Amino acid sequence: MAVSLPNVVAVATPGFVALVALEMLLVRRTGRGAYDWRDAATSLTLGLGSTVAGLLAGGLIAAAYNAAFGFRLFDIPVAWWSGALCFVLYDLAYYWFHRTAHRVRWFWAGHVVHHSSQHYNLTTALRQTWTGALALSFVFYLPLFVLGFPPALVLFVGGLNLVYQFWIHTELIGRLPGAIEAVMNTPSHHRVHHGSNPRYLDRNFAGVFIVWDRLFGTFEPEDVAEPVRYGLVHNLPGFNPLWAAFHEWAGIARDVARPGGWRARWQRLAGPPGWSSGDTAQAIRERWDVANTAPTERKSQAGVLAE
Amino acid sequence: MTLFLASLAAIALLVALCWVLGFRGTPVLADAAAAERIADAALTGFRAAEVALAAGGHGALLKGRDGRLVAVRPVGDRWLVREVGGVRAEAGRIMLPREPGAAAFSLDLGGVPAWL
Repeated sequence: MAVSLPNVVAVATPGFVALVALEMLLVRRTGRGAYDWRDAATSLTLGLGSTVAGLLAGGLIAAAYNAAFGFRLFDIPVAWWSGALCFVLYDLAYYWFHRTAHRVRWFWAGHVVHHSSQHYNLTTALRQTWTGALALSFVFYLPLFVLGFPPALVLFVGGLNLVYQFWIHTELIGRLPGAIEAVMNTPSHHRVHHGSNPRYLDRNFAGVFIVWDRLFGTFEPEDVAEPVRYGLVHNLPGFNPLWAAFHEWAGIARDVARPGGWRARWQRLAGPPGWSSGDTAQAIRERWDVANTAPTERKSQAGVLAE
Repeated sequence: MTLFLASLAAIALLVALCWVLGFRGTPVLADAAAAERIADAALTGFRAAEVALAAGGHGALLKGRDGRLVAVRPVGDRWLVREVGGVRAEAGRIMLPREPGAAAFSLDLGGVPAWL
């Protein structure tokens, strides 16, 4: 018998709208956090476009999921225990999708949209890709179907995972109690993830459980002495949602068409973002390390400007 | 279709609320040091040798010790930092190279800096 589970994201959407409005009011009242109407318009437009793109690509992705389910190793029933297990394994798959989406330019081309705001608020959570299917993000979840989790259950926990990640996109919430910060992804941990500061680049890939980052060596705590600079290494020059959605694909096309051997072309396509310009996260972090180990140089620079 | 139109209406309402609440500012650079700090933060290791501040603090053009030319200009209420290969002067303003997805932008530096 086919199992029917609710579309969690659709159920939560009115709540998203109400919480965005509430956050705007609280930011205005407290002065904590920031909004810009142009940025918010772009984020919300990208969110709506992402829903439409998801509907258009949904058939293709469902076919891939059903095909993988056809090769299932076990017949896992829908039950509380399988739901809990699926939720944890889905989050593990999300971690690897997300890490890859930051390290491989093809996947990054889809995911970059979510990082393209210089703000960090609840509308940033809704700033989602239009090209997730093209970027092949769904392949990371195929093992769950091969294991035998029913597609309806995987989609249900995927919705829960996405809804969980909504509320952590805020500057209004500081640090939570230690036990929560130790296990769960929180606003503090995720602010780090959205930072373009060298220290924060490519860190905290978790969806729900921050334990994956602690386990796989990608965890970085938020340092109050170093405020997060949100956005990209190479920020967008405006608020055009079409450019935000497709600019990295245009960049890939431009770079692959440039002269160079096939090895270089492959790196421009599947190497780390910034490989072409020498601005990979690793290279930036190394430059930052060098700059930080030459304090006399920095001091003399400050002196020149003071004069 | 109803759902799509309802979503559009919700977006319009939220953006209008954002505007009404006053989240529509433009950033201002207090001084040359602020421009240098922003450029250094965005381009790790960048050290300015020269800074020309735009009128009203609405941007800046910097020349690095390594010869790089860097523009700092507003985008919404934030700053955008770009290495620019070259710029041209037009009617007393410095025209920045146009980028896809954005309108043309120029800096009013009150003339062309001698070091440019």
